[in-house]
Amino acid sequence: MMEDDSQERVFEECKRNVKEQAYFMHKALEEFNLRAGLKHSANMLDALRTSELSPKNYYMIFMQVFDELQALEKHFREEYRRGRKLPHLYESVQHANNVLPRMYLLITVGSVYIASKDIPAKTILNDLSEMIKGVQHPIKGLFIRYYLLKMCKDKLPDIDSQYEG
Amino acid sequence: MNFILNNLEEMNKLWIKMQSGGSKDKVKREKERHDLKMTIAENFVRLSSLNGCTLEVYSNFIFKRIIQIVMKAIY
Repeated sequence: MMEDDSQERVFEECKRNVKEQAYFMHKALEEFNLRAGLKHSANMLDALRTSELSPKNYYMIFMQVFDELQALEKHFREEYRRGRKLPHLYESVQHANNVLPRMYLLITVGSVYIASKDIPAKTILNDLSEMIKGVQHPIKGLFIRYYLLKMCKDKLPDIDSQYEG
Repeated sequence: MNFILNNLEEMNKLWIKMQSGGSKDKVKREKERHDLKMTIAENFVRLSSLNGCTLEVYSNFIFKRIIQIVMKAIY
């Protein structure tokens, strides 16, 4: 019973943090302040660094973050359309201090990178697969790989696809 | 395709890693692992949606690779 209570508390706190940081992220992005936007998105992703959540609750937080990252990806796409260089963007997300947030952001940019066809999808996927090995905690590792699959699902090199090769 | 299979292999390793540890909390741990299955299953969903995943490719390549991954995990 005690355990359920503290689980519930940690969960509520994570949820609140994500919501708060997501709010700041959106605000920064609306003001075209990319640096602040990245900072808040990294803070938001910190919620996924916890080891205290049960898989079910972790999943709930994951889905919450996932929705926010869709918005971030959309913003990245617009930045690209406005002429921002993707290698530069790919570099700047790497300033995130912790491995896990950094990887989530990299995958998000990677997804835009593949869609841009500036470099072959294979190169990016290999790069991401290499770096993702740094996440060895089972639950975190499974979810970040799940995220990678979700983000790349319509961009995998395949026969008859535009990302072939 | 190789990308998904490698991902599958790594995810399977992580999933197996969760199994280890003392006998304490075993029931709880198994339940957690059960909850996480769907993240691994996503690999199969992705594989099946590839155009290149024809019966021929599946039987000559993918199936062998999956068996390999499973065998490696057992030993």
